[in-house]
Amino acid sequence: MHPISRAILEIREIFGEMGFEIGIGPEIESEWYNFDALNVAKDHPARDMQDTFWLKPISDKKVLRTHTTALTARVLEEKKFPVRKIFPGKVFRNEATDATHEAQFFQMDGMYVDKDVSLAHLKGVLTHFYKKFLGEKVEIRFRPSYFSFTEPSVEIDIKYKNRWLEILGGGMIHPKVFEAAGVDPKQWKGFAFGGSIDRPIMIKYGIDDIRLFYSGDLRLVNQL
Amino acid sequence: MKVSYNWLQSYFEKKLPPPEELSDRFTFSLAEVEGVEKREGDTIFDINILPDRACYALSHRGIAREVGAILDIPLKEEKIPTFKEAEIPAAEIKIEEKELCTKFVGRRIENINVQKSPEWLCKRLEAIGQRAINNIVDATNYIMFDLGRPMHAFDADKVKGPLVVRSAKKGEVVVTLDNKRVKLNSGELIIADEEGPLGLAGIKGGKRAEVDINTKNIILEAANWNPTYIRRTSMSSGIRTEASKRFENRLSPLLAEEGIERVTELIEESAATPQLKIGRQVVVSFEKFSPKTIEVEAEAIGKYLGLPLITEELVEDALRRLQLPYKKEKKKLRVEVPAERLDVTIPEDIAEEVGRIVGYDKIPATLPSKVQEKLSIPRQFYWEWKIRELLIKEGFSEVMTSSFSEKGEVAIEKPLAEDKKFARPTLRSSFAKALKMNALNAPLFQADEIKIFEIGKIFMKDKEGTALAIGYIGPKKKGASELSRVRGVLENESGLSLKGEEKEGIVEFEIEAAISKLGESTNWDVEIAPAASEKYVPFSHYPFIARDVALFVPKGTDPEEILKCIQKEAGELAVKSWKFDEFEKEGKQSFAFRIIFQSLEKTLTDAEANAAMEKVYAALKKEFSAEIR
Repeated sequence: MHPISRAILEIREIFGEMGFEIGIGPEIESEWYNFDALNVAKDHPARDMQDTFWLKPISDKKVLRTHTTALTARVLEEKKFPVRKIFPGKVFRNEATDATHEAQFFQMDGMYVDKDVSLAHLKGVLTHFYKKFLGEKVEIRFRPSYFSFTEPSVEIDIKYKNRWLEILGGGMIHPKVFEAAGVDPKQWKGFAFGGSIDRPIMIKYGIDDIRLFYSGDLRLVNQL
Repeated sequence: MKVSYNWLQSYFEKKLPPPEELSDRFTFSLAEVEGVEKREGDTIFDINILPDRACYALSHRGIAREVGAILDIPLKEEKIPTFKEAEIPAAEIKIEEKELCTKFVGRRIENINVQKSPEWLCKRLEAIGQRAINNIVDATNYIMFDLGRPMHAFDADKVKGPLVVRSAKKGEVVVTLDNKRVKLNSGELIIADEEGPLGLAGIKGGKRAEVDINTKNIILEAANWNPTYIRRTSMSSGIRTEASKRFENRLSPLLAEEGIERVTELIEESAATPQLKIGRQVVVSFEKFSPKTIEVEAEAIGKYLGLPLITEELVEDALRRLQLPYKKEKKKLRVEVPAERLDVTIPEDIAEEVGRIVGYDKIPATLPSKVQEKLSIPRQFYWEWKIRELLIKEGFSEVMTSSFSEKGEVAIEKPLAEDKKFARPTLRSSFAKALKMNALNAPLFQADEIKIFEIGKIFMKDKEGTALAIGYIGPKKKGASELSRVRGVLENESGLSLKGEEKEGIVEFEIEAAISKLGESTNWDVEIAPAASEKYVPFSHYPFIARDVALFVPKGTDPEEILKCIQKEAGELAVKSWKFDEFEKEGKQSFAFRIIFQSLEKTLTDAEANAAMEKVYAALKKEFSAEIR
């Protein structure tokens, strides 16, 4: 079976145990959900054509989503709280491909909104997930980072087979992101995180070229 | 940003911990250190300053203050120098673009002596990879790396009339300090005089009013530019400099005056003549600085970070270390944000500051409380997985192919390649290639048929859908019937109604509409067998050679023994071998075996395969009295 599908199957199960529901959404996203609603500054470099696939005509303001975080904005807007969601899905970045870079890859984003949510919950949920996904010995650590949609923002490293790997980013959902969705940030708090699905499974199975995932090649698929 | 350990040390009386230790502390309390390099008695850190902190941390002083906070050690006291201003003509400044140039501080200094910078200053600049030029240029550069505040000096005698900040006119040309001719299109912001452009505002100085060894009088500039404008112009002109990097982010307006005073101080130390005259500071400003106060409570910060042990003392201690002054009002702390900390605007920012100083490693891992209700499953997700489950049971393997295609309805503005100009309108084109490639590789799988499927998004004008493609290549007679068969299984088992035409071994269905007619499930009943292997073995990208050997052997010969012999004799290049035929004729037993040769390092030649086969034949004849057919 395709290793990415298998990963999504495991993601559903492990996050399901923690009360997270699967969320899905379109791969063509509006500028609003992909950037604006996530507090990405109007002139932020991520919006450049060098980084994002914009669709023609540009006046439609549509992109191939650059992250499944766009779904966080969509779910917040539904205003059904508390909510726990996990979004596995394909995303796109306008970058040259090589063994470690693909213009298309899979990401999982997660969110948890409730009255009392903290970074400790983020640590708890991700520790649980990676222990089940990669093995009990896994360790996790936070480092300071910056994302427009979270404050504080942290880089999340996973220790696997004695190596620290930079796999995810996350943090507490920025009040401006709540406000953009029409939600009162004084009333609700939440965490959000996101990261590649491809990378951890490359490490898990020892796959040396990310492009193999999207080549349709059974010499990969039939092994796993 | 390149940061010198010795330069940081100059901010402290106390000896700093060794560079390696400091580097770790940066990583966990400030930002990632991308490199640590020893260089001539110094150590240079390459710190990846986060964009929100650029306003204060793209500077040695900013990093030194971080060191003070992280290690809780005091910094030496600093005082902004002041000067006795002479009665000389003041710098003349005219701003035509008030939106793009929000502040300009200038100062004229007369009777300087341009020469080599003092040793200590050259050393510091060179340590971080900058070239020392002369004591004036170096002084402005030094202040940029020390305060994060880019500065510029003009040779006052080469400037005709006042300094004017204006938009360039079409056809104007700037020759930059590194002798590049930049043609202006109109719209770029320049600093000019009566004769024309002097430099690209905020990005790069120009040759015409360059300070050189003969310069006697200068005008210093510390201006603030619109960050968006700087980023765009620096991109379109292809000129990105240490100055533009800093201007791309907002800078506190208050730094301009301080920058001018500090540069003046350096010049007074290194370029003074007995007749030195320091003119007055001229300030043209369209931005107003209003101090910010943020109200926080220790308890709320603790709850937000998930630090149950946090106390008011801990929060106050972190604020003190970070030089974030505050006033206490009962439980509330009113933080007065320093001017250069443009990144701190809301209570959550204070929480982050406290969090990283207390240490994120102190945050425990806590699972949220259990959820009692049954989880909902998106209908689309559920049924896609039921389809996967069914097709896998039917012996099909899932593949994924590119979402880009050569033709389509949804065009990409800046595609990666000519054949990737569209978001795919169907799965078919990439999927057909995958089917063909896998069919060619069928011998590697010891298979005489290839059965694959893909589920993925497709893109039509104004509409996005989900498609399922199923492909089959195998013995001729089975082809079409296999696709119809599996389609029948799918329709019967799932209740899906699938519309699609079989063509060239592939059938593709749009399934989103079909799924929307099916029911929802809250019960996850998808069963998939565990992975065949825990480890992926890299495969060869070189072509393989398949060889068959058919032979008669005495009755009762064990084909397993023959296969073992073949595997032994064929050598390492034989990556796969198996029996594919057997029959009896006139009391003789016939077997046929297939052997696949492939190298991980090169394309094999026929001769190499032949040589291996010769060894196989010889051994089979000898060991089994085989008659090779």
